[in-house]
Amino acid sequence: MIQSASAVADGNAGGPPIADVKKTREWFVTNGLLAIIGLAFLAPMLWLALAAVDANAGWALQLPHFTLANLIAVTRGDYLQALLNTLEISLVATGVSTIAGVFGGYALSRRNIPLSDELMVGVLFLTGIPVAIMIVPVFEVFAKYDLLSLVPTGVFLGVTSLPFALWLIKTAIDAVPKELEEAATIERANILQVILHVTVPVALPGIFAAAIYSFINAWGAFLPPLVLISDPSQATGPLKIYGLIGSAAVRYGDIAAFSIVYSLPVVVLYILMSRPFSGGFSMGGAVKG
Amino acid sequence: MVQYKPRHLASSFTALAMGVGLLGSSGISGRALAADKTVISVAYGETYVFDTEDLTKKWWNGVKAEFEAKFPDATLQLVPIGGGYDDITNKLSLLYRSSRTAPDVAQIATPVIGQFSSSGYLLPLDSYLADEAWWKQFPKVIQGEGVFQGKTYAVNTGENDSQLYYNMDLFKKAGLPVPWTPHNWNDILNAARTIKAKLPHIIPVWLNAGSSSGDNGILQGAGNLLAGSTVPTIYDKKTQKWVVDSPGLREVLDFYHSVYSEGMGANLSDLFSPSAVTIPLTLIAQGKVAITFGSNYYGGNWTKLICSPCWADATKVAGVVPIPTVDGHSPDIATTVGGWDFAVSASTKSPHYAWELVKLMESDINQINAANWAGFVPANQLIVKEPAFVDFAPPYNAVSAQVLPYGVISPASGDYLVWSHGLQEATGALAQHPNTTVDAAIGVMSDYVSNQLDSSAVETLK
Amino acid sequence: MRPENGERRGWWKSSAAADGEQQLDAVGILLLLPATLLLVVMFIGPVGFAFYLGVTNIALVGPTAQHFHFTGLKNLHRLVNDRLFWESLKLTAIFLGASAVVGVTIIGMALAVLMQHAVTWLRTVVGAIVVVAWMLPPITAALLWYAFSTTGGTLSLLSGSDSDILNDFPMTIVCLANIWSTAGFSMLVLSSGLRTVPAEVLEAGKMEGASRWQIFRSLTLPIMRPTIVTNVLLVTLLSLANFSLIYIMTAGGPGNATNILPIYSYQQAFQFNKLAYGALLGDVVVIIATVFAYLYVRVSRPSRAGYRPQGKLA
Repeated sequence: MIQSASAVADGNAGGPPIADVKKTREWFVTNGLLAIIGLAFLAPMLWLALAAVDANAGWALQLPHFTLANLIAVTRGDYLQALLNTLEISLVATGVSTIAGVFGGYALSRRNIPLSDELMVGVLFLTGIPVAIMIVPVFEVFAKYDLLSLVPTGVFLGVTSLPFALWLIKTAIDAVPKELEEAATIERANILQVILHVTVPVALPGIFAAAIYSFINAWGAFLPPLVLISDPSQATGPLKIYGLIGSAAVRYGDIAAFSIVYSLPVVVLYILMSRPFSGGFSMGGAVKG
Repeated sequence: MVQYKPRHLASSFTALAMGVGLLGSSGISGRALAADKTVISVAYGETYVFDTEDLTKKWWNGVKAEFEAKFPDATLQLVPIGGGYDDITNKLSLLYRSSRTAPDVAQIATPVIGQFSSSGYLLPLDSYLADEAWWKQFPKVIQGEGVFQGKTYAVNTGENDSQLYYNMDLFKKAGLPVPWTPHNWNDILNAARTIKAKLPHIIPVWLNAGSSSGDNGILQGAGNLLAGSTVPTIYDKKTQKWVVDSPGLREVLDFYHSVYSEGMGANLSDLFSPSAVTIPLTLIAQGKVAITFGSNYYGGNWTKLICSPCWADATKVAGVVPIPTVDGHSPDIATTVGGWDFAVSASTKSPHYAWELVKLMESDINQINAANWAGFVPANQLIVKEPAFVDFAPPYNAVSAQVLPYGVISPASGDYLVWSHGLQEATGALAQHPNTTVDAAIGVMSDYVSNQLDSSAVETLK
Repeated sequence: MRPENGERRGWWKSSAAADGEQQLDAVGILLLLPATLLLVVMFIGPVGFAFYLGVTNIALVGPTAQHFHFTGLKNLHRLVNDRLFWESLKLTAIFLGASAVVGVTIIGMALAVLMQHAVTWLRTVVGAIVVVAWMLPPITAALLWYAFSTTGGTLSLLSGSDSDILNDFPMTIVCLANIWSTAGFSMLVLSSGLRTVPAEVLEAGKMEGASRWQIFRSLTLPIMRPTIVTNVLLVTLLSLANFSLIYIMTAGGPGNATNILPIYSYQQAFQFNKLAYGALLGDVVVIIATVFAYLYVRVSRPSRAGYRPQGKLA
């Protein structure tokens, strides 16, 4: 999943090859096409960058009347609190889905679970279910047990990404050589020790992929916090942005600035994760098994 | 209500979650402190109702301080609800599903009171209201907005109505009279045609269309025209059917047809924007639009206090006049009216305090502040004459107070929103495809409503 | 998918299965318990309840908010006769088809292939942009694309007119936005798929004088086929669950031009307060997701006769 771009290919491409017209043309076509696609992907981000520092921002793309006021406004007070709330909710979600996912994924991969294939299909289709249809029953349960706050919502978000996490982790564990675990078992390690000290370290890239999936899923979640969090001091980032769009006076500059600040952590996550795991750490590997 | 402690659960998670748990939630202190006091909770719109979040806090913190000072044995717990109009209603609907989460007092949008009272969620207030002098100052039409099956379940805390804004500078440039007093819809169309001919770069008319603003687009748009048409019926009480075709609806859609087929409307991206209803505030201030069907809050928004957008010269440039009826029939004033109300939960444990809170919020000063900070017209007919209200945004507030008693309130049934959506689709079609005929637009509306509610639930009025 | 892995797993699994075929594995079930409990309580339970709500008359608010009851086939009857539902189903198919098929097979594949041959710095930069686009929170992606495609936005400036592209081509734009925000995922999956294409095979193709395109079409693509199909189905599932993007950009409009099922379901449940009908529409989405999940399993299961490893999802 998180894989540095430089690891995408195996580094078999270099600069322009020597004096081969056909190859030179190919080089230009390849790099040119990629550059065009890259620009096309970059273009939608342009507005965000400009509007965030524009004192008179609107929806239109325009040269900004430069100001830092928007950025300063959205990194303090309620906005900062919203970011911390989003962080809390995301870490809880990540913890829930990763921990349950590691043990569950191990069981599905290694242990003799009846109907495990059918279970995996069931798990997979849960991935496509829109959260909106579960939200009312979940709300009723949360209301009944006074759970309408950050941490339980984080747990719920963790559960919504658990199907995919379970499935990523199971496929990652499938690829761990069985002999490693057998050796540990001979040395009288118990099952928890085997999982935590043998399986998990080897399957770490896949587990990280699952953790990051859960984190991003919770970080971007909109509907569940909107419905399940009742204390406004616990509002998360998306709710703040949504509030800004819907408020009586729309402040576009603040929307853009806060969107940047709010998106920054996931980008940082990408940069941090792409380096140490650039070798084997790819969603592709996990997805393919 | 027992406060759930996030910390407790967080500790059982990983070290990761724990570390941040400390940074994260601040928790609600109100409930914990109030162990031996009576706690009254009140839910209200956080970002949508008042003009700015700061003013939301100012008004509600003021109410809290006043209430707790007056009743030292009680605590007021504030439950602000973020998001827009629909989000507030949705959250309240969910909160009221359980008596554990139902707020003792809630600020509810006028059009949904009927649904909340028919759910059995609200307490009848008639016995409390009987003795209140201020209640007698409410116009009959507004007293009636909280009535369901003969009982009153809600009291108004501020209304929105509509009027016409026109740019006096542009009118003068185009050779139109200032001050301008249109007597019927043709007067409006003719002025718009003059603007289009003389000032081709100016948008002649802002008239909300389409569904991006939900029912708000109707309240601040087509609903006003329907109120001033020859047959304004939305719901036929005799037959219990929704009107999807009538001379009144055809007059309204014909007006839309003229505006948009003659190229006199605003551009689609503004009209269909999620923030469409607030866009004309800026367009008027920038001198880009000549005539606007707009809400009463515009004048207040331009003031220095609210400043969204700031417009010091507003009173010199933006004229205001009531919306006329289609043919000038009496009273020659047409407007929707819709606002926010206070209601008390049927499951409240302390109806006495809940009512005391409502009374306190209905005090003159709180109502004037609410009106000025949220862009309301107060229901109380004594307050609308107070200088603190009238002079807050002259001349606009005086006109919006003048038209209020003529306001038409939308039907209090859940299916009204489906009807409203049907009309939004019809106006949207006329705005987006200028060659849409009025017949076709009526077809869009009638198809939509009968598809959603069944064909036996709709009718044509002759 | 890697042969030696498959053999080993197959061998091990079958031996494990031999001594535990009939009896329950208590430890395994215990390990699976937390995930199962969480999923049952907070996922399957609510979904099951939603299926029940779909055949009742529950409203979000109103007389039947609390006192609702089973209404038999009434809602289903309405569903079958609801033209907007069929229209919405069609729009959902277009949205998923365009987003998944075009996004994965054309954009995702083009990115993966070009990445293999481009210069390092360009690869790094473009890879980062595309992956960041994928990682951005849905609400941010929606805002970006709204601003990008509305009047005065980058797209309308580029087209040299003052047109409002979002309102003129709403479905195209929301599909593009969805492709934009899922292409990073496809690129990563397909890139690592490309790396598993054995170099000898490509070498052999070159020796026989085939052009790059020929090699790609007749050697790389067939080997990549399972990865591509897997990816298409996964992106379909992820797009199906992505409610925020369209909700923020168009809320299903203008008219009903982008009113895909998750949006229509939300509109019925939370704007018209018809919770039961909204739940029923959501149930249809659940069924669609089930079909895709089933297809996914069918496709990704190795089809070699006589070889039937336990880990079918691999």
